[in-house]
Amino acid sequence: MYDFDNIDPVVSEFVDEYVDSFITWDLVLFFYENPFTMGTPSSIAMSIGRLDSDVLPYLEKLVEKKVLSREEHVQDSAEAVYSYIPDKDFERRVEQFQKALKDRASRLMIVSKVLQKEAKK
Amino acid sequence: MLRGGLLPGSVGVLKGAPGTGKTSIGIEFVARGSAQYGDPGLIVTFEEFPRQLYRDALSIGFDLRALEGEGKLRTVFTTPKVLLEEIRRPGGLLDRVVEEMGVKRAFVDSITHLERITPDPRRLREIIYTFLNGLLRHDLTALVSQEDPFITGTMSVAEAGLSYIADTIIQLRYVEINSTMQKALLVLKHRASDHDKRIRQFSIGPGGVEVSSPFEGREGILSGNPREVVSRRVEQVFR
Amino acid sequence: MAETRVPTGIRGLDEMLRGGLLPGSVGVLKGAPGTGKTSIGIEFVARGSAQYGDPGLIVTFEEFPRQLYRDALSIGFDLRALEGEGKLRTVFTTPKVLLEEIRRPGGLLDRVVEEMGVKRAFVDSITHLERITPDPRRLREIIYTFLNGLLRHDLTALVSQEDPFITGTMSVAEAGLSYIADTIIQLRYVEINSTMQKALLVLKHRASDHDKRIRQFSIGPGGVEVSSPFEGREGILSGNPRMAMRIKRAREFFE
Repeated sequence: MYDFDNIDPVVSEFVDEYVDSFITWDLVLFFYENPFTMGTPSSIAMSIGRLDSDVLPYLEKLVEKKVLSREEHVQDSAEAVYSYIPDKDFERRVEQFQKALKDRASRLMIVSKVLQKEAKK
Repeated sequence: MLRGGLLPGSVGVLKGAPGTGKTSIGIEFVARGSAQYGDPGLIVTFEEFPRQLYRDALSIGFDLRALEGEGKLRTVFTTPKVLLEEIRRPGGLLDRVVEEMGVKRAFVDSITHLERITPDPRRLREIIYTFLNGLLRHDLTALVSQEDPFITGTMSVAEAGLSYIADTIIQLRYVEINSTMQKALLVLKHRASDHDKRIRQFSIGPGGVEVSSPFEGREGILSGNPREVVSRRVEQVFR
Repeated sequence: MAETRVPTGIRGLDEMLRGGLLPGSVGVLKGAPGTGKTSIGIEFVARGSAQYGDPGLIVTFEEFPRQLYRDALSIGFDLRALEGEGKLRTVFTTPKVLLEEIRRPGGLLDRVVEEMGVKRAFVDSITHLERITPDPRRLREIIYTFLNGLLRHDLTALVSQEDPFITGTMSVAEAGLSYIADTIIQLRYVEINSTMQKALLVLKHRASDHDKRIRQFSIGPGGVEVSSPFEGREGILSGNPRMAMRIKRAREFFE
C-alpha cells in the first residue's frame, strides 16, 4: 500500500482527526474558503453539490468537534443553521491540508486514507 | 451624479443584467466605506461564494479578507430565509454586526433571491418591506442588487413595489456601439435630492469602477441599440 | 497578484479573455444551434489534454459520443486517442443520472477526478437540465448544485446553453445560469452581404478584464479561430447589423 511516512505529519494528523469522509473534506474546505457562512443543511449541500441527507450527519460531527456551531431556527423551514467557529489554529491546519492536495502524490495518499475510513462504515 | 453620495440611512437599488457591474459597484461601496471613510461594512451574498467575491474585489483593487482581518468588514454567505429570520430575531446577525463592529454600510447581493421564499406577490412585498426596514432600523446605508433578465430591451416599469420603497435606483445596461459592448449607467431615482439625469458610460478596472462621460448624440441608449441622432450625422458628413 | 489562468488554447480567444478562464470557474457558451458551442467546448478539453497536461471530461446528454468523436476529428482533435492515453473521458448520460453521480461521494465525478486527475470539463448542454423539473426556481437551484459539484476539486468548466431565438428575452432559468456563471461567451449568426458569418462576444468575465469587441470567428480543420472585430457596424447583437450610418453617408458623399 502507500507509504504514509511521506505525508507531512501535520496533514496526516489533520486527516486522521477530522476528515472521516469525502463529504467532510468538501465541508472543511468550503467553510475555510467562505468563513462567514450561515447555512442550512440544504443550502450547504447545494453549495458543495451534495445531497442534504448525506451532508447532515457530517455537519453534526463537525459541531461535535467544535469546528461548527449550530443554531435552531424555528421559522418555516425548521432547518438548523450552521456557522463556522473561527479558529486560527484550525485554519492553519486546513491551509496545510489544501497545500498537500495540490501535490499528486500526497493527494493520492490522502484519498487512500479517506477511502479506508469510508470502507470501515 | 448623486450630488455627494447616497442619503444616510437609505436604500439604493443597483439594477442590471448579468455582468453589468452590480456586484463590483456594491463591493466598492462597502470596501471604500471600510478602508476610506471609517464606515465598517457588511456584505451579504445569497449565491456567489465569498471566495468568488474576494477574487472579484481583488481584481478591482480591494482586499476584503484584509479588511475582515481588521474587523472592518464581514462577508456573510447565507440564505434569504435565514437572513430574514436573523433580521427579525433580537440579537440576530444584524444586531450583532452593528453592535460588535459598528457596521454602517451594507451591500446585499441580490434582493431578487428573496423571490425564492414565496411565489405570492403580496407576501413577497411584505418580505421585502421587513428586509429593508431591518436594514433601516440600524441606520445602515445599503445598496442592494436586483437582477434584470434582459440583456438589451425595454425596461419594465414597476417591480414588486421595490421601485417605490427604494430611495435611489441606479440602472446598469449594456450598449452596443461600433461592434463593442460598453456599459451604461443611469440614475433613475434619487429621493429628496437632485441628480444627474444623463446616461453615462462606465468601466470597471483594477482601480475600481469609473463613471465617465455621457453618451453624446445618441438615441435609444436605454433600449441598448443606439442610433446616432440625425443632426450629428449630417454634421460629420459636412465636416 | 496575477492569478494563473486556464488557457483555452483557442486562437484569438485567450487574448479576449486576457489569458484564459479563471481556475475553478464556470464559463457558459450561449448560442443558437450550430453556432459552434460544441466545437469550442471540445477544443477546450482536447487542448487541455493534449497541450496543457490537464486531463478532461466531456459530458454529452444528446449527441452520441460517436458523433462527438467525428466532430472533434473534423476540427483536428482525436478524442479516442486521448481516451486511450487516459487523458480524457467522454460520458454519454442523462442530466438526472449525472446530477446523482455528482452528488454521490465516490460517484463518477469523484472517481474521474481522483483516478485521472481531471482538471477540465465540458458539459453539452446545460439546457437539458430543464428536463429534471418544470419549476424555474427549482431549476436554478439544480443548475447551481450541479455546477458547484462540478467545480469541486478546482475543475474549470465550460457548459453550453441553447439560445432558442436569435434575439429575444431569456427565460428565468437561463437568467439564473447567467448570474451563476463566471464567464459568458455569446455566439451568434450574423448576416452580412448575403452570407452567414459567426460572431463571438465575451459578455461577462468575472474578476477580469476582457475584450469588449464583437469578433468574427470560424471553425475549420485546425480548430476554432477568433479573428477581427466587425468594423463599422451596429446592431450585431440583435443579429441585424446595419452599417453605421456615418460610414454609409460618407461613402455616398464621396461617390
